[in-house]
Amino acid sequence: MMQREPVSSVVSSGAPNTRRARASPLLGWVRRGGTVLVVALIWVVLAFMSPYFLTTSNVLNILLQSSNLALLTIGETFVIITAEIDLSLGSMEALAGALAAVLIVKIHMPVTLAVAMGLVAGLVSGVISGVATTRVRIPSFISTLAMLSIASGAALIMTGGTSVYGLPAAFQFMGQGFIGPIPVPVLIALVIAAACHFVLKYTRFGLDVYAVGGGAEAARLAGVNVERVKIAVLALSGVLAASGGLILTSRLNSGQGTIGSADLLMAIAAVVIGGTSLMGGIGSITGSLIGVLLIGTITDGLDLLAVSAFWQQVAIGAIILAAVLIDQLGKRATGGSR
Amino acid sequence: MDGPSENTSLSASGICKGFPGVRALDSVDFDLLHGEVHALLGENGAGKSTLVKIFTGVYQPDAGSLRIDGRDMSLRTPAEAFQHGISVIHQELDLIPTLTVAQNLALGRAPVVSGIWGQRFGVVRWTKARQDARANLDDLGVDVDPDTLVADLGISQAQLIAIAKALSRDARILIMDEPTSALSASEVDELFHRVRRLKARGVSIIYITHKLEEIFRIADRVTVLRDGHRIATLPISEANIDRLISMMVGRSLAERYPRAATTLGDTVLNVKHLNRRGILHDISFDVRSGEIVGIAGLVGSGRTSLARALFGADPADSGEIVLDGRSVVIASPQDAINTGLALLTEDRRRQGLILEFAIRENIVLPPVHSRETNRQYLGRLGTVDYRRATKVASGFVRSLAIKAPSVMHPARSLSGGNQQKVVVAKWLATKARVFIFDEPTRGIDVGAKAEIYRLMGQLAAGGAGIIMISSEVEEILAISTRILVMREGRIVAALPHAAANKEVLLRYAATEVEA
Repeated sequence: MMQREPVSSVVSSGAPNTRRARASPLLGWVRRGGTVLVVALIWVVLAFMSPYFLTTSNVLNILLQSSNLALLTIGETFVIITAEIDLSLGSMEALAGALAAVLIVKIHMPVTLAVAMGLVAGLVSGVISGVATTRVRIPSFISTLAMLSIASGAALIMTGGTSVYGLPAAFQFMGQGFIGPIPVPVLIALVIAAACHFVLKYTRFGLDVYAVGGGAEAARLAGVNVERVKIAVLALSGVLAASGGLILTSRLNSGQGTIGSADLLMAIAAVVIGGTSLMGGIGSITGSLIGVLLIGTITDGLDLLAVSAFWQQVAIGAIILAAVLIDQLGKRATGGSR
Repeated sequence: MDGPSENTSLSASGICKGFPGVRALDSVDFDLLHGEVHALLGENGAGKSTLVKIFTGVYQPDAGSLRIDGRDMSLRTPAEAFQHGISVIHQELDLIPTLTVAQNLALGRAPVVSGIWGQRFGVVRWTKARQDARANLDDLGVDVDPDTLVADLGISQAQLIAIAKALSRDARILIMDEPTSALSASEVDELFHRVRRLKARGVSIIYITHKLEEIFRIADRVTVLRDGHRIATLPISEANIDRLISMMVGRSLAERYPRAATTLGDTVLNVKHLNRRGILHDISFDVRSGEIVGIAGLVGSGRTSLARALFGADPADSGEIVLDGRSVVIASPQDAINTGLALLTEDRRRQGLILEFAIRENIVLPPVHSRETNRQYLGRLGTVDYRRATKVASGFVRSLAIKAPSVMHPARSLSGGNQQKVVVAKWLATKARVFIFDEPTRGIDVGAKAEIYRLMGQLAAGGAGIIMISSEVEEILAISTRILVMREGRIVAALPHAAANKEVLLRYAATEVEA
């Protein structure tokens, strides 16, 4: 008596349904395309308004300025997809950069080792936040807020609140070097973005990340080690933020305990603009990168048009609202039947 | 029942409603008398919710007319329906858990102090609001302190508060959607008692349920919908369960509870002296291949705790679990999956499935975490072979007759029965040997229930051992080959199929006798 219906099998490879699952694929494309379209539109407008905008050097400059934010945003995307949040990104940049600078300048540690120590500092901090969140059950909003304060304080203690100068040329390559015409930070961000996109879309770990955010209890009962996944994403976020901090320090050519303080909110903004749900379970690296590009483009464009930095903040806030509004309208159009 | 009579509270005639691709309602007539409880039956998708949404102003009918108290009426918004005295008591109650009972009742219509403070600034007279709440609750015979937080109330009490809230807004037509799905037997009695009082006051009630037995206790008349048509409206005295079911599913179900002929094999699961402090006490039993062991007991008797202990979700403190003759340690769901156990939870939407995931991702999630099966799905670098996952998922969609356009369809939008089949599929994909079903047919309509039973029969016939926890005594009696009864964390009786009946089960479940 079972009714058999022929079911067309859709053979496709890759990826949990990363857009809102209830949206049709077509609408998903239109909406994803929507943000791309907005970026393209802004590029066209800016190209008309400023003759410098579409020059190679300016485009590379946008990418260079965005690469740091991209690294932070990639890590935050993982964390937010698991329905947690990492508020310690900015101070993790400061901690890693200050630590590496102090190790190199004050105790003459080799550059590669000092850079590695900076990354380890990010990793360890992330693991601590993760363990506090999962084992001690302190919400990540609180545990990473505490980490924000601790890391920021530690960075200031190490640098004594002043700039640490005297970094060697080898250290400068990471932030200021070029391979061919491409700045090294852009290459680093692209390679890491590609690797993280691959991990999220095609590996079991990626599937687990979506599963934890989509329903932690259902995921646990399906064999996912929920605690380990959450610790892993916070650790990844710590390492990526640390790498961003090292690049920034290299570009500034000095260790400073105060870098990165504005980056946290920009990273969260980019994640949200990219369509990742703060409720977890939904999101993508590509979306977040588009968010980063949008913010980078606007900052650069407004600089070219000589708009004051204060007004730039207002503009970016307005764009976040607009992006989320578009998202909500899309949801209303595609969801809510029956 | 032709034409609206004097006594008609709500009548609908010739209601049609279509959505793209579906005719949800086709010339449906319905009438509700003053002081009547009118049961509305139908499988999922029969048109019940569409009809209710038309009565509550959520949808506009494409054709047909509505009359309230004999007057033509069009309900363009939920607010209009509400003004005409139509209220719905949803399964998810429209109460705010962090507010008190009095605050909930006062919401949107709180008494304010006189003068500018009340008019302009909305300063509330909380003493008056509390008194009003008290009066409302007394009126309904509910003994709850108006200062209690709704979050601190049990579901049945909260439900009564929701009813009180509707009545306090002069509801004359109450629509109750599956009001008993989360209630124990005694709470159901309480609710029915209150419903009868409402009837006596002339309140009309449309009663929607999947539990057919209930309507014989509470309803005056019953209307059956199927595929958007009204099949019949009859007085309850002329209805019986078999007749109603055949009207609902459109065919006579020779068996409501199909059983597959199975032969019992070796013991697959042997549980010895399992304890979990304060919750489970000295649980010992075994399950043979081909067997369906039913676990009966009241809500809170420890049945779900036992399932979760076996599966490692809330591991036992002591005891031994032997699977296929090997003693195994199960400290986490991961361990359970590796050893070939499957848990199908009662709460499918929160624990059984990841609703945002497609069918395919839901199905592939357990097997990629099972030592037995993960190699079939994982590539180098820890990649998931989604091509293979699609193939496997499509196979299950076909073999289990899951109704979905494709394996990429999100689990959220499937019906309860199809969601349950996806859960079965994800465990079949792990090659599980022992399946623990916790309330397998909760919230699933009659036709789909039979399919789930048949599926369980097929699993058993295929050599699996099955444990089925159920609060539906009839289901337990009909499906199980052997029945365990739990009370207060212990197994108090083990009965062969032949020795069990309703009275025996209830006696063991509810009283102090030992087997």
